[in-house]
Amino acid sequence: MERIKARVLPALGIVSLAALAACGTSTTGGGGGNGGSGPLSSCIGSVTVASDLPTSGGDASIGGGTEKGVKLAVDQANAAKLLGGCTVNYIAKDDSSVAKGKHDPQQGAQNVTSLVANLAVVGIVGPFNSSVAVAELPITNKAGVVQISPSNTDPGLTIPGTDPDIDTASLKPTGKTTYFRVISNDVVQAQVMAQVAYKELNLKKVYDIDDQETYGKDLSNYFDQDFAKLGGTVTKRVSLPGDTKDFRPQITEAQGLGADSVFFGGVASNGSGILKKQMSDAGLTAQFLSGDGTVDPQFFVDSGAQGDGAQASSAPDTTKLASAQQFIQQYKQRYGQDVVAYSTYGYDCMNILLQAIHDVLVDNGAKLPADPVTFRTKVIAKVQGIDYKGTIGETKFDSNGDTLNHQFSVYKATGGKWVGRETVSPSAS
Amino acid sequence: MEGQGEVRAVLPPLARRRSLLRGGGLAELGSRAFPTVLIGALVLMIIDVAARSGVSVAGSQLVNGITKGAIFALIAVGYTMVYGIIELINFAHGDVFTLSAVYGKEIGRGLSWIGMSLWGVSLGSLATRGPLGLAAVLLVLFPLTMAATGITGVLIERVAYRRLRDAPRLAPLITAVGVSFILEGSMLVTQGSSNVRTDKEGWIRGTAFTAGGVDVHWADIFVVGMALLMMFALQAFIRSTRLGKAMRATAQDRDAALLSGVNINRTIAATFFIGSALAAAGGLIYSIFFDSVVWNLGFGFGIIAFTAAVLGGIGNIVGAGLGGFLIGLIYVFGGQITSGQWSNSIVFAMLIVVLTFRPVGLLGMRVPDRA
Amino acid sequence: MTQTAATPEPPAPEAPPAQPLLELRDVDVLYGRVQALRGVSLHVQSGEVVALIGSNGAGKTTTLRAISGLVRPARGEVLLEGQPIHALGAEVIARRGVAHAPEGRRLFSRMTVRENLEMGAFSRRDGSELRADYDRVYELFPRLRERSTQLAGSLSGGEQQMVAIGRALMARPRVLLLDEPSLGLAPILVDAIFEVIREINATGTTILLIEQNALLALDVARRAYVLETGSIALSGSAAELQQSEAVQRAYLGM
Ligand SMILES: Nc1ncnc2c1ncn2[C@@H]1O[C@H](COP(=O)(O)OP(=O)(O)OP(=O)(O)O)[C@@H](O)[C@H]1O
Ligand SMILES: [Mg+2]
Repeated sequence: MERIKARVLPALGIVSLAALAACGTSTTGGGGGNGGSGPLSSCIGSVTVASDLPTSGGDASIGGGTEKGVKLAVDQANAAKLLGGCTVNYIAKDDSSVAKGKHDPQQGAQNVTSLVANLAVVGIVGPFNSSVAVAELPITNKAGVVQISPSNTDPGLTIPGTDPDIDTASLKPTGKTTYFRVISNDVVQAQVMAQVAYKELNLKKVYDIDDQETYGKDLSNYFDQDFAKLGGTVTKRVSLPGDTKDFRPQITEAQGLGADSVFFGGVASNGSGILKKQMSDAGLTAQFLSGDGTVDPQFFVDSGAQGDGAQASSAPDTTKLASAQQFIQQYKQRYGQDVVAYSTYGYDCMNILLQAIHDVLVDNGAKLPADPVTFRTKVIAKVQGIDYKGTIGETKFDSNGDTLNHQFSVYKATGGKWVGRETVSPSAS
Repeated sequence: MEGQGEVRAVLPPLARRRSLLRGGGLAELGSRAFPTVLIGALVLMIIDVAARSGVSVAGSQLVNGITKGAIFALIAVGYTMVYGIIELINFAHGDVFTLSAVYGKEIGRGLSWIGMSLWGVSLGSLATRGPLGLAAVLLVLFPLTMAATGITGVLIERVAYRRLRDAPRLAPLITAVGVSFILEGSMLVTQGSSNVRTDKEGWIRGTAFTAGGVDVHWADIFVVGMALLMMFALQAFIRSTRLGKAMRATAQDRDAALLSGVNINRTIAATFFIGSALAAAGGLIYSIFFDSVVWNLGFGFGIIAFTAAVLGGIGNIVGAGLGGFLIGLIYVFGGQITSGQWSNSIVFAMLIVVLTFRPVGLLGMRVPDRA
Repeated sequence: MTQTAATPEPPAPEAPPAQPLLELRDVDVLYGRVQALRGVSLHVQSGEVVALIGSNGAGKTTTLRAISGLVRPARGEVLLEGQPIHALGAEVIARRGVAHAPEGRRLFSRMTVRENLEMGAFSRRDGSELRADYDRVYELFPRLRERSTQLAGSLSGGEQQMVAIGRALMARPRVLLLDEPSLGLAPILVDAIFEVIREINATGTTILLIEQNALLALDVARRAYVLETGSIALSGSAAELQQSEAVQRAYLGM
C-alpha cells in the first residue's frame, strides 16, 4: 500500500529533458495577485484551511517539504490579499505517529476527525499516503469537507474495482465526490507506458513480471489490460516474491515465448535492476519496460552497465517545469532549502483550495457564508469545477476527483542514469 | 532399554515420528512410494514444460534448475552436517551463506588493494583476463573466504551453541534464530538495506556449448562443477580421514565416540568449520554467478536449503546434495508451471509432505534398524 | 540384605600389589536430583577380572560411566594407577587405556564392522601393531571377519555384541569395562562370549564386568562387588560370594 515511497521520483540522477510545451503556457505565480482592491475588499472575517501530512518520523523530509509548499501558498495568499479583507487561517496536522515512526492511518483519522469538528475549517490538503487516505476519506466525505491530495496514486481511492484491497464505495459514504488529487494514478501511468510500448516502440509481445506487492501487481494488471486493448499480446504474466534474485527461469520462458519485451511491475528494491542485468547476461534482447517504481538509482546499482536501454514511465519531474521555477525560487528564499519531490504538488493543492474559496466568496457577494455546512459544500463545488494553472501544469478534475492532467514522462536508462524523454499524455483509446 | 541407543543412532529424532506412523499402512505406503512419486512428479513437470514451451525451453530450465540447485546443495550440506552431529537446526546457517558473500567481497577488495599497490592489477582485471588469471584469483579467494567463514562458524558454535549442547532442544533452536538476527542485523548495518554488488562482474562469461537449442554457459558449468567438486571432496574427507570418521562417529553416537577417544568439542567445531566453509563456497559461487548480495539473502536460501536437507534425509550428506539439486529443479519447473506465484509454496509444501510421509528423507533409510 | 554376610574387604589370596590399577574412593553420582551412587569405593588390581553385580537400577552402569568419564562424580575420586582421572574428559580417559563396552552396545550403526573396529583404535598411534590386533579380534570372533564390510546396524544382536567387545579391545586397553555383554544372547552365545572374556583376560587385560547372571559372573571373576541402590552392599572373592547365603538367595536363585 505504501506505493508513495516508490514514487519519490525526481530522485538523484534523474535528468529531465521533458518537453515543456504542453504545460509551459500561461502560468500563475503565487496565490494570485488578483485580490487586493478587487471584488473581495469588503470581506470581513477569516476562513480556516488545514493540511494533514506526515511531517515527523521517517516521512519528515518528504512530508515536511510538502507542508512547506502548502504553507507558502497560504502566506502568499494572505500577503497578496487573495481574499480581500478576509484572512486565511491555517492549521497544520501531522499524521505520523510515534508508534509507527511514520505516517499512520489511525493518526490521520484522528486528525481529520478533529478538523471536521472545527466548523471554521472549510478544506484540507492531504493526505500524503494512500493508506492514510483510506482511513480519512470516509470521515471527511460524511462531514462534507473537501480534501485535496498532493500525492495519492492508488487508483482504488477514486475508481471502483481497480484495487482489490480498497472498497472505493466505502470511502464515499455520501456518494458525493469530496476528495480530489492533483497527481495521476497508476491506471494512467500504465496506459501511458502501454501506448509508448505498443505504438512508439512497436512492441507486440510482452512478458509481464510483478513483484507480488499491491503497487506492482496493480501496475502490471493495468499495463496488461491496456497493452492487450491496443492489440498487443501478453505472452505470460508471472508474479514473483520481492526477494527474488534469480530471474533466469522467467527469462528462459520469455525467450521461449518469443516475447519482444519484458514488463516489470514493481519497485527497484524488488529486483528490477537484477532482472535487467540477467536479461542482458542471458542474451535476451527484449525491451525492458517498467513503471515509476523502477525509476530509482538502485536500479543501476543492481544492473550496472547492463541497465542501459531500459524504459520506464514516471511522473514528470516538476522541478524542471518552467511553470514551477518561480515557486522553487520563492521556496528556497523562504526556507533556505530546496524543494522536495512533492512541494510543488502541495503548493498547487493549497492554491486550488484557496482559489475555490475565493470564488465562493465572490459568488456570495464578498461575504462569508453564514452556514458553515453551506460554505463547505460550495467550496467542494468550486474545487470540482476548477481550472487551475499552477506549478505542475493545468489541473482540472473529473467527476471521480482525479486530475485530468495526465502527463507522464518516459525515462530511459542511459549511461547509468534515468533520462526523462518527454511528457506523454495517454490518448483516448 | 536394549537397543534404544541404537534406534536413536540410526534414526534421528525427526525420523522417529516415522515409527509413530508406522502403524498406519497408508503412511507406510506413502513412505515407500515417496521417491517414485517425487521423481515421477518432477519428470511430469519437465514433460509438461517441454510440451507447452518446447524442448529447448525445458532444457534451459533444466540448466537453470540444476545451477540453482547446486547452491542450495552447498548450503544444505551445512544444515545436514550440523543437524547430524548436534541435532540442531542451525537457523543462522543461511545467514552464514550471506555473510560469506560479504566476506568474499571484502576480501576481494583487500586483495585488489594489495594487487593494485604491488603490481597495479586489480582482482577483477586479473579475473577477467583469461582462464589462468581467473584460476589464480579463485585459488586465492576461495580458500581465504572459506577459511574466514569457517572460523565465523566455529565462533558461532563456541559462543552461542556449545553451552546449550545438553539443554532442552528448544534452547539452542531459539539461540540459532537469535544468531540469525544478529548476523542479518550486522549486515544490514554494514551493507545497507539494498542489494550491493560483489565486484565479480563478468568473471565467468560466455557460452560453453549449445545442445539442442540449449545454451550452456561457462558459468553454469562452473557452478555445478564447483558444487560437485566440493561435495565429492567432502564425502571423501568424511569417509576416509580420521577427523571425518570422528565426525561420523560423533553424529551416530556421541557417547560411544567419546569412549573411543574422540574429542567431541573439536569434532563439532570442525563440523561447523566445514559446513560454514561449504556455505562460503556457495556464497562465492553465487557472487560470481549473480554479482549481488543483500543482507537478508540467506533467509530465503536458508529455508529452501533446509528443505533440501530434509528431503535428502537430514544428517545425510549425499542426501543433502541430492535434495539441493532436486529442490532447485522443483523450484524452477514448479515456478514456471504456476507462474512463479507458488515457487516458495511448492517447496514448503514439499517440506510438509516429506515430514509427514517420509521424515527420514530420500536417503535416510539405507540402514535396516535391527535393534 | 545386610552387610554382615561377608567381610567388606576380604584379604586377597595373594599379596596385593601396592597400588590398584583402578580405584574408586567414596564416589557419589547424581543425575539431577536422583542419587545413583552413594559412597562407592572399589578397586581392581592389574590382571584381575572383577564383577559388579546387583539388581536393576542398582547403579552398576553408572559406576562404569563414572570410571570412563561419561558422568562426573559429585564427590569422591576415581584413580587410574593412583592418578585421579575423574576430572578428565571421557576421550582423555579413553586414551589413557580405559575401554568401555557400554550397555546396549552403542555401535556406530551406519559404519561397517571394520570401521567400528577402527573407531576402537581411534586414539592409538601405534599403527604397526594395529594389524595384529585386528587379527586378534577376528580370531576371537571369526564371524566378524566375514561381516567386516557390513554395516554394524544390520548385524544380529549377538554379532553386535561381538563388535562392541572387539571395538573396546582395539583400544588395547589396560582396563576393559564390560557392561552386560551377555544381554539378550542365546545361552550358547553367552558361553562363547564368556569364553572370549577369559581369553582376553588370559592375555593380560584387566576386566571390570557387569553381569546380571551372577552365576556366570562369579564363575569368570576372581572378585566381585554387590551393588544395592547405589552403595556397595557386599564384596569379596568370587568363591566367598558364591557361598554367601544372601547372594545365593538374591542373585543365584538358590
Ligand atoms: N541419565 C539418567 N538420568 C536420571 N537417572 C538415571 C540416569 N541414568 C540412570 N539413572 C538412574 O540411576 C540409577 C542407576 O542406574 P544404572 O543404569 O546405573 O543402573 P544399573 O544397575 O546399570 O541397572 P540395569 O541392571 O537395569 O542396567 C537408576 O535408578 C536409574 O533410574
Ligand atoms: Mg545397567
